[in-house]
Amino acid sequence: MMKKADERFSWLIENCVRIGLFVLFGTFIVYSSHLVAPIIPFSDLPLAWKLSAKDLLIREGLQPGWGFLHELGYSDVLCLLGPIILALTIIVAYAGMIPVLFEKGKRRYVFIIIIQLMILLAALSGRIGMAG
Amino acid sequence: MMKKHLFWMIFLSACIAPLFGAEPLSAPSVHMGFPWWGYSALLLVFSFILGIVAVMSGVGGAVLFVPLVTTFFPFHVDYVRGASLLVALAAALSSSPRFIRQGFASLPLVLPMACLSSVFAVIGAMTGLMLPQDAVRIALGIAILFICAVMILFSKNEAPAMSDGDGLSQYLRMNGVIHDEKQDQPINWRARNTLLGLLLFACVGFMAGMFGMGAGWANVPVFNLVLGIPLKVAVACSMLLIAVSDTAAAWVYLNKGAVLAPIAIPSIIGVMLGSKVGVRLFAKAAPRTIRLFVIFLLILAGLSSLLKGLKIL
Repeated sequence: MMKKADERFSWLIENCVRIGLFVLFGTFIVYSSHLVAPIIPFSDLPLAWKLSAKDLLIREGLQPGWGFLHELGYSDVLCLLGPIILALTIIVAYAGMIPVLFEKGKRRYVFIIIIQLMILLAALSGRIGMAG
Repeated sequence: MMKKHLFWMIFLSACIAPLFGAEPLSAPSVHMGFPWWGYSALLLVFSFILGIVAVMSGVGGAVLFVPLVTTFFPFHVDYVRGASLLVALAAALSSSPRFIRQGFASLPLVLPMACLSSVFAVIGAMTGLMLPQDAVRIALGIAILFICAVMILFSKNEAPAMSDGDGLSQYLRMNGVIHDEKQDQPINWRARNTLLGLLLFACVGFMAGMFGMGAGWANVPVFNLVLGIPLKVAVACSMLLIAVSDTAAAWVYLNKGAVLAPIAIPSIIGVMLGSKVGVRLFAKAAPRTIRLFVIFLLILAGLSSLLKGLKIL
């Protein structure tokens, strides 16, 4: 009954994960072999990872949320691309399922998926809880 | 054969890559005699072993990751939780397609549960990042000891009796059929207690987001015992649920800067590779002994977290 939607969903997850893990591994090689400079110097790491995320952002003068896009030239920020692709996987897979479910007349599931996408996009936007 | 070589190439290159760019051991880059890359390499090996143990004991890697890494490594709990969520997410995403194709993971069952669970995972993640480190340690210690109790007390039900379901489960067609290989016959299932299930998944989502854990330890009993889902379907649906709710929480951690490359990336690579080895060793292992060892480790880590939070340790 959901066969085609299941297949589309699985295919999208599989391929996004493949790309995500490839990018994750590749960017970490770039980072750890010092080919590109990081935004947090290696010499500061033993101190940096003892600070809370909030304190570290203040100390390094970084913006929370999508501000990191301006810092992609640094190897440690570049390393975030792998986790970001992994965190986008479900969003892509859910969105890819909508046309199939709509075509099959499964509107009740389309409705739930749209609500789920709204929740995930709200989390992705970085606007949730920014005051904290 | 090619795959086997590729596996070891990835593992070895991840281990030795930092050595090519390693700085001299200048004072600021060294902590307790260890350079930064020493911690990353150690974390990679630690996560690799954790991945093996997690698969062989039937416990998710992330539930072990947070208490053990906060106990043995000098990292702030924010980055450990961020890395742990990504570890759980990567593992859940990797196994979900196979479970869906095999017919074990049911999207009509997971979709509504994941929707509510992810809302509370976001709330949990925000709460966790707002609390001071000691408060998180105390809550984590209590949560880990609670998880141990669930693991000891939860008795699995391979195939619960088929129920008529309730209004919501009938409307959303939360039912299915799987093939039981032992008895060579089909097992029909239909979800029951859907509203109670939704409520429990909201609580589980909150804990997963707050502590950066995969929450398979709670999802499986809720699917199996509360919703009356056969164990294999419960395990598969739990992985899919983790993939969705951890995605929501992972965005909060990413946006708040709680993902540090030298901590998160070796952890993901280590656990992913370790779980592949664990699957191969699974047939030869004694899962009950390993599970008991894991529970013992969790009790120690939970107590350590609790006592550190209370400033007794």
